[in-house]
Amino acid sequence: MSRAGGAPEPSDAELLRRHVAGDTTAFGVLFLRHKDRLWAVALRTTCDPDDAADALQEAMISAFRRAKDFRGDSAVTTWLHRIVVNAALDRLRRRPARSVSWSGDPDALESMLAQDTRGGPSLAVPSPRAGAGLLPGAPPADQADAVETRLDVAAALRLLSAEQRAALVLVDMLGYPVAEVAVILAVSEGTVKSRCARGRARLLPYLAHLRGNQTAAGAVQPEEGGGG
Amino acid sequence: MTGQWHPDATALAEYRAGLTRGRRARRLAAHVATCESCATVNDELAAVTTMLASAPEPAMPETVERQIMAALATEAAHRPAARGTAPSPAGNGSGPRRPDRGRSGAGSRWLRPAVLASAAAACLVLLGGAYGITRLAGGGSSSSSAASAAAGGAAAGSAAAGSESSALAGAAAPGTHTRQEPANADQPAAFVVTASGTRYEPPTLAAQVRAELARPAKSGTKPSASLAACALHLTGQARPGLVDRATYQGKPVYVIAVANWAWVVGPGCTASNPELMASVGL
Repeated sequence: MSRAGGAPEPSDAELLRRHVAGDTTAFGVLFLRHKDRLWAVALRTTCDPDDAADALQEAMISAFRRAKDFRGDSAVTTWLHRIVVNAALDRLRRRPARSVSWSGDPDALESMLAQDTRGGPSLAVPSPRAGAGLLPGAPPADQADAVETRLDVAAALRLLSAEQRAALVLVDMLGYPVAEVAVILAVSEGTVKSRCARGRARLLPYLAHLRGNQTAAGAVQPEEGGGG
Repeated sequence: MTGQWHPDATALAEYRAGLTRGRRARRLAAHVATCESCATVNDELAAVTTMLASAPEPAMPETVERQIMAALATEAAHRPAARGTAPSPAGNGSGPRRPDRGRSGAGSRWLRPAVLASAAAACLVLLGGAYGITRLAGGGSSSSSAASAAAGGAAAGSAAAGSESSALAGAAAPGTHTRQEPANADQPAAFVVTASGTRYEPPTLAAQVRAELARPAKSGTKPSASLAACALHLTGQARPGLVDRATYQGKPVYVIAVANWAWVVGPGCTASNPELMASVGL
């Protein structure tokens, strides 16, 4: 597409082919090209920046080594997403207790979250590094809003099973077509739709609460709603 | 009738996702059209998707990016030569080098750099013009003119013009690499930190590193424990041929190199966080 210095930017498939042929820089270029998307998938699926970083690194090393097995029957990005999601889910399976201090009872977590949105986002912040991805250019007020939304969504995602979360992150948050997500998750399209539907239904009470919370915040700070 | 029965949120969500068919789907549609509370739930399900879609997408933190790039660089440095799928003219070019290494350093521990060198040579020819790094592949005469052109460009910086020819000589004659051979087999990790004052720059990095690698052994300081651990982490425990305190794009760095690969790391480089800024095959 974009031509810098007369040379067309190599496609993902071309970069992968060069990597397999021995080009030592091609895979790094491919990773840098998609890093933010892959990070979003890993972070949203694991709900923990440390787990996300570990899972993503593991996935990239794995993709690096297995590149010659890529057959080209899906897009390179689909293949990369699949490896990342698998690494993330694998990590969650290995460390089930780490992502949140919670007995396992969904209702208990829900009430914890509900209290938490009043008291502050402490539960929603898995580690200080969670703040690393703020919007640097936004004015302070907007930035605070964005952070709050992000943390609430991050907290809400923990209500879901890992499988529901992976599907919902890919379809609703990142906007991938159901057919592609089916390939990424190696399940049928019907299963993707079902996991998303159940996930949305599961989030419903929490987001309704959040909306109420926003209205309450608006009442405390009338200037936010325009003041009249 | 419809006033008594309400579908739950999951049933509505499945209906919205197109998972409900036939009579059941018609019944749900009719109900939502007349039941205010279920219509509200239906709207809120749509709002869930909107809410999720509008959440800001986090950018990858720089520390994570550096960490993964360093892991990939390490992986690339330890990668076996591409086989089968790759056209491999490099297979021949790397041939002469292996016996030379084998003669001067017999232990299996020292076989590893030799294997790495040939693996890298296989990559180098394929990489070709990008970094102008065809020369190390056995010092063949066919590639040396291209290489000296690249090295000539590199020498425009602080590296003296003389070091270009010594770089060529060094690569062609493995004997000059003796400082990379084990002086003391019990301490394979021992190396010194030089301060060449080289101002490394991205386009000339490989040539500049090669020039430094080819210089005769010179004195230096002992590396700190963290720098030593960082260097050995990057090289996969092989003894680096060069650990040079210098600048890269004007910033203070360490340049760490083995025969076939170089890494540019920040001054606070440690094994767990190498602060990798660049890496290149030689």
